[in-house]
Amino acid sequence: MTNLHLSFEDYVNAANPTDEMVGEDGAIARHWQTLVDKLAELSTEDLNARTSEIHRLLQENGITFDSSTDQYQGWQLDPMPMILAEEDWRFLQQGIVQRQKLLNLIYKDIYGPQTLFKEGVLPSNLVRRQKSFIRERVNRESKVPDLFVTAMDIGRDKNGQFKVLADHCQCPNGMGFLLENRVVNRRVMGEEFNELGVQRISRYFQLLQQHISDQVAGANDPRVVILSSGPSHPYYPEHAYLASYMGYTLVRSRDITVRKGKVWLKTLQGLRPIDVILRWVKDNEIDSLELNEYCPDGIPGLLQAVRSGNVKVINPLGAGVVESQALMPFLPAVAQRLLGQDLILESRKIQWLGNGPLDSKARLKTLDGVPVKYDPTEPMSDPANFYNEYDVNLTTAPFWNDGEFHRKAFFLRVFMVNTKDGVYVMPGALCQSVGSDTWVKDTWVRSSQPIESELPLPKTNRNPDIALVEGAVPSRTAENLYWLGRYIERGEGNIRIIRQLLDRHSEVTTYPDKQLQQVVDLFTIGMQNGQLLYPYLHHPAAIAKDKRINCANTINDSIQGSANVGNLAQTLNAIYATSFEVKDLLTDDSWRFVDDIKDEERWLHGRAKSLSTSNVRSALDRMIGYIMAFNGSTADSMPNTNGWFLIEMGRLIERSTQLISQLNFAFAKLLEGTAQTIMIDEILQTQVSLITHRRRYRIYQSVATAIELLVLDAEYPRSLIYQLQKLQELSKKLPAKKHSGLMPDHQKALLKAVTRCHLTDRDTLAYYDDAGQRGQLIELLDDVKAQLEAFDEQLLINYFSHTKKAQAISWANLGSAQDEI
Amino acid sequence: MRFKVTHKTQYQYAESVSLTQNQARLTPISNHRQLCINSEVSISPKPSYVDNFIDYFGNTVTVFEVPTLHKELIVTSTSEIELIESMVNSVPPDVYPWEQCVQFLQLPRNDFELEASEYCIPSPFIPLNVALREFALISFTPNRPLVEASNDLMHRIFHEFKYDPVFSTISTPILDVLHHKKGVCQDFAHLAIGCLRSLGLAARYVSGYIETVPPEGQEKLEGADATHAWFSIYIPEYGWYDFDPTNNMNPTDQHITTAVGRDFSDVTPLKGVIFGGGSNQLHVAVDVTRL
Repeated sequence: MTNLHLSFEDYVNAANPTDEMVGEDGAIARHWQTLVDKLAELSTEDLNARTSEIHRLLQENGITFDSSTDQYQGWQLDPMPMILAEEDWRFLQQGIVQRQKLLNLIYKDIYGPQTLFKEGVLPSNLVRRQKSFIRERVNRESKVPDLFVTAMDIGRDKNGQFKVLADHCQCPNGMGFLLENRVVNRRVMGEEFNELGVQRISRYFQLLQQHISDQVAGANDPRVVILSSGPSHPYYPEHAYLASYMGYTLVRSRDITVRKGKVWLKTLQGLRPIDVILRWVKDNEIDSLELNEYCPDGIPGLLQAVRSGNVKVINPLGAGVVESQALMPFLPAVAQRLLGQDLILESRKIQWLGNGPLDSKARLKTLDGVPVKYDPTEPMSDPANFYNEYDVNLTTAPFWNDGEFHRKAFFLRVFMVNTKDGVYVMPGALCQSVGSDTWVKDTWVRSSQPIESELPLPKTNRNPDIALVEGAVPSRTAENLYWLGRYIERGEGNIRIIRQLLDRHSEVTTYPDKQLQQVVDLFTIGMQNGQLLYPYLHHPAAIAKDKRINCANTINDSIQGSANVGNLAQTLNAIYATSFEVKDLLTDDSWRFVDDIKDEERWLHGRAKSLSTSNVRSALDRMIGYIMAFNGSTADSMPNTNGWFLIEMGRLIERSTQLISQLNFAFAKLLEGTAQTIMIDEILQTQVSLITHRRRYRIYQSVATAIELLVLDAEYPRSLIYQLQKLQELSKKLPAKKHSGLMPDHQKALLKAVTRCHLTDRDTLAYYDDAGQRGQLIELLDDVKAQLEAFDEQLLINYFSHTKKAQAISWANLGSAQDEI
Repeated sequence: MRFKVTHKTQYQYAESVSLTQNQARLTPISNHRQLCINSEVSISPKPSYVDNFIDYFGNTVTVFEVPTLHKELIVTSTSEIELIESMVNSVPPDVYPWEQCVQFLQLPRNDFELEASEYCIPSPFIPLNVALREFALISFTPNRPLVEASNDLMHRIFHEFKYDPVFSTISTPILDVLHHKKGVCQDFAHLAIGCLRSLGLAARYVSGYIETVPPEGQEKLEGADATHAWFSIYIPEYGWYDFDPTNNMNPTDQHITTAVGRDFSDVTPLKGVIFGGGSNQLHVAVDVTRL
């Protein structure tokens, strides 16, 4: 048990004055003292425990997870905050506000009168060379909008000077991450937070929301959306978090369409107008029609809609041009020209090659900031496309990791919002270490003034989501919810079957029994040929006669065999992926269970073969538990909002499909003697109906009674007809596409299926011919399956189909004009 | 001189298109050398939305949307253009050595030069590089007057390059054109622009039409004319002056301009995003008639 007091002492003794925690006299700096005193009472174990707590909380929210690589990101949030002295903050604030004003004026000038070019204060061709200079946005007559949300990366060099390392002017990343870090950090370090007099950040988000509301003031039922490029974006969890935190609909470009010069959201109910877009898609990727470079994620026609004033992109287009580092060397002159002031916050040293020579001591970058390798001996054909970036020797701060403090260079990302009352700087920052793995801290800005009483945080709109209450479910979201339902049910069904076979297999290995062995073999074959598991083939694929029936291998394959489409691992991954797509709609609890499911899958990965049966068995049990918990949590929190019925519909369709396939497998052909009885029990067991069946039919149990219970009893919740009737009920929630007096095709399909079940009876279905075939049962199952497929197809065509992909065409017929004249 | 131009573009799709959004640059520009008297763009099937705007380069853009299922899209522009006689026949005074023109563009003395300097930098289809510069320097000998040197460059392209409609596509890089010495009007224009910009001069792309005269005694065939492309150079204190490397001439009264830009990507006559459609086929017919 080491006392933290000693850790601090060691750190300070070894550090030099270029560390933030160390004052000029070599002792702990004054503004850190309170925190250090407070923490000195703790042990290293205490701080480690807080680190794990943070990790757990962040993981639950999924924000540390990078879906594109399926890996946990290098993010690691430190319980130990960065502390900023009040006087440093005052200086920074002043400098940030000035610089922000300046960048805004530059933005407005570049897209407006271009005075800076005319006077030669800013090289015109430096701007015109940039990809993010959106020529389509230049408008010398009308008013250019203001920048909205922006950020700056600021570090302190070893001479104590703050330097701006980067400006982010169009869609700065990290804001949601900062917010989430603050929430977690405050939970873990609550006592210290309160004692230190830390400035609150909630006002920032209120101003953000306020400004957005001002844009749509007076509009009747305005719709604001957050545009993200989707789960492949490394900050997608943050987009989802912000969307649900602020209560806006999270959309992707495919959810949006431009019609008649206006922007619309494609919803289950049809097209709904959009008034304001807060975009997290970059300038040069936003319009696949107008912009020169085709961008697959663009919204064709968006620029025209913006130009016609039919939609507001609130973080304005073309703003990327002012964030280029190549502009930095010109800012002092521009500040003099536009503000008549010295630039308070200096930029890092940058040299544009249009204005100076290549420098081998610096890093070479393109105007878009992409690092380039260069060969000083080779003449550059177009040097003005590049700039030199010089390193900044940054100060360090203590980062807690593995039981000790590490000294790491860092910078702060500070966020601003431009409102009608001027620039507001969020009093706080994301503190990021520089180096191979990124460590992150919350930044506490201290204040000697009494902290303004905490305004209530904007209401988190997690439950229920506004978009859903309004009834506007984006079609893509609807489709994802539907598939989530199907995968969840598929996962549950598969686990039950695998678990059961596992049990019977160990039973028959211990107590050999010929009849039971026959059923185990049948089950094994049923799994191998995709009858009992997805893809639920109705007419099983033939298996080569000589293929050995190996139950253990089959089980392993069905968990993660690469040849098995729809093995359990794939299904669980699909649950994760579809949940991720609708992450902004899930409650924290629901998401936690999804995360747990994914953890189990990860744990099992590549290990199933080497694990003991009981280990696999208990992993399967845990998974079933999480799936049931997930079902419970969604059923609990979302039953009344529009759109969630799609999960239920997905589950019902999947369950019906499973049931049909299993019944066909078990009863299509007569089995002899005890094998038949065992088979009845096994099927009832996988359908969680064994006990009901026993109680109800006692000594009369037979194939006929099993069929009655599992197919025909409309009041029994696990019967086929029950699922179909439930589907009928839910399908009425789908918005009508026809005159209300006419039955839509998808309902007709269900009606046929339900009627088909009603008009038969158990003895007809249980009847078998001389060859042992139950022809009537097979026919019924075939019919119902066909109707379900028809229903599914109608759903796809009528409700999910406008998620079609676009292609670009370009006219390219040129040049037969070499005529003699 | 007044011309009537009909430009018909027809797309045929293998499968139905459910929605298409388009931008057409088919309305001839009005500038120092011509006036567009009237112009109409008609679209079939009937669009649900049509709007116009003037783009960054001064071209008129027709924006339209067709939301009905279709397998064929026809866009026809019909325009009357008056060439300004005094301008199309004027020849700029060739007073400045090309090096001095480069300097003017580097430190623009007025708004015209500032605007023109945009055409000194690379654009999507035209990168700058040493090979282009070296090719250009053969014509641009020290202190040679700008127009004289440019005409020499144009002559060299005309004589050294083979007109070959099979060789190039829309995306053939200009370095390939330089290497193989083959291409069509668009390639020659792009190549020349690249050469001039590599020297620091301002050059832009011009799309348009050229009047063709049938051999004596024969009727002119309908739709036999074609779209054409050439380039234009900024001459200090004069303005833009055109060069047609495909025909080795400075356009006078037979060249009608549709649009100008940095390169082809800025003046694409018709571009769109379609939903559905599968593969497509394109037919273009142009008629230029002297009125």
